[in-house]
Amino acid sequence: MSYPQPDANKYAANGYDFFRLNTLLASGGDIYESEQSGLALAIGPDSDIANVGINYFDQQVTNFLAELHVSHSRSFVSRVDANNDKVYAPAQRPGRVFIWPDDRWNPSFFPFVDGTYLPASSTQILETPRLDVIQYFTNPPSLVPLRNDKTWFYQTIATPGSGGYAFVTIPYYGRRYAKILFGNQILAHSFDMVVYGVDLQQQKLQGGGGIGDVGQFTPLIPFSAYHGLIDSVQVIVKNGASQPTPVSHALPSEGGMFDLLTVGVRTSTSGSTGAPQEFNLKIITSDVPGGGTP
Amino acid sequence: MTVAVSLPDAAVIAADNLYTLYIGGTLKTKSTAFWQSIQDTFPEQQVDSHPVSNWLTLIANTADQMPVANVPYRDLDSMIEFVYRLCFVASQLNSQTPKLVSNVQAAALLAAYNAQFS
Repeated sequence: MSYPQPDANKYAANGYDFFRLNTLLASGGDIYESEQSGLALAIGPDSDIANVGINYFDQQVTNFLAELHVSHSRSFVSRVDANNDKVYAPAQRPGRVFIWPDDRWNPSFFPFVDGTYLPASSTQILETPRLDVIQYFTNPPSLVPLRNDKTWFYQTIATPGSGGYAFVTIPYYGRRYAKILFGNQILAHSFDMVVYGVDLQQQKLQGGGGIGDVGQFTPLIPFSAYHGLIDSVQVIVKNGASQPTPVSHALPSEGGMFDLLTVGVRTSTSGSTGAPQEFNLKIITSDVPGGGTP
Repeated sequence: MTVAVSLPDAAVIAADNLYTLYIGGTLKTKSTAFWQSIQDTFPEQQVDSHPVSNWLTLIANTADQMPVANVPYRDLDSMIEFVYRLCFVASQLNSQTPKLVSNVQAAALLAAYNAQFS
């Protein structure tokens, strides 16, 4: 979907109870609009974005432009006006409801490992976040702000070889729990694995990495920990700290929620040719700190 | 302050550029001049470019409410966010198929950014 966006007027005209904006983000600056006033706003069940900014018409505030925020932990249940027949000052544009992700996203993001830029052979699967927001035209009977648990499953990924990592980066906005399951598809070979929590800046760093060089990295599983993996391994990320099973190194301190999770796997450089090899990966994320629907 | 070579570049250097204006006490003046100089390039009747003009509406509001001196850091933070997002969405609408922001509009936006923020 993204742009051009759906028209909320058609939903209202056709008697729908709500306008649902459900789209993959098109850019790091998406903003959507509704010319309809509504009676509630909530994060939808399939949203990766956890925080959403809303602007609406309020004749009591300066320039008539008011702002509120809804999140996966807080909906807004009351009337939100668009007032198309009036204008926002000083731009003199007609009143309408603005809806925009208040989480940062950069579609050019690329990770690095251990403070150095990646070998040219590294690859990345970068999952675009989904924005899911619901504007209700009738009084909703109840609102459950928690999002669905989400599973990301990759049956077969090949490491690029030559020392390069295959990265999988998923949205983690507002999530409190992740289970990461790594599976070795070819038991004759071993792998190295790293897991980072990533917070996105809105300013590129000075190291020359380019427009996508905007990540601040918290190592959850550093390179030194999972080196030479043969067997499958499960990692639990809980409230920002990793708890690998089995515990084989000191746990990092509690670090809070991240924008993204990135998992990097490469053919182990110890005792192998470093040629491309296959693995599988399953990641489950949840809003509930212990995982699963409460 | 740094001249931006593209709209995505303008987005990821906006924090540095606007911070320099904030320190120099010209953030309100420059932000106001920016939105006033470019708003007519994205007219209201061009619905497909509303993502750009909607960010300009928010930038206009923030600049209007900002004091001339002793600007709260929160206002700088908001302006950085809005300019960052404006540049990214304009770039997207210009690069996608079909284009919803023309090459002329995108070039004008980048020029306006560099005129005030670099």
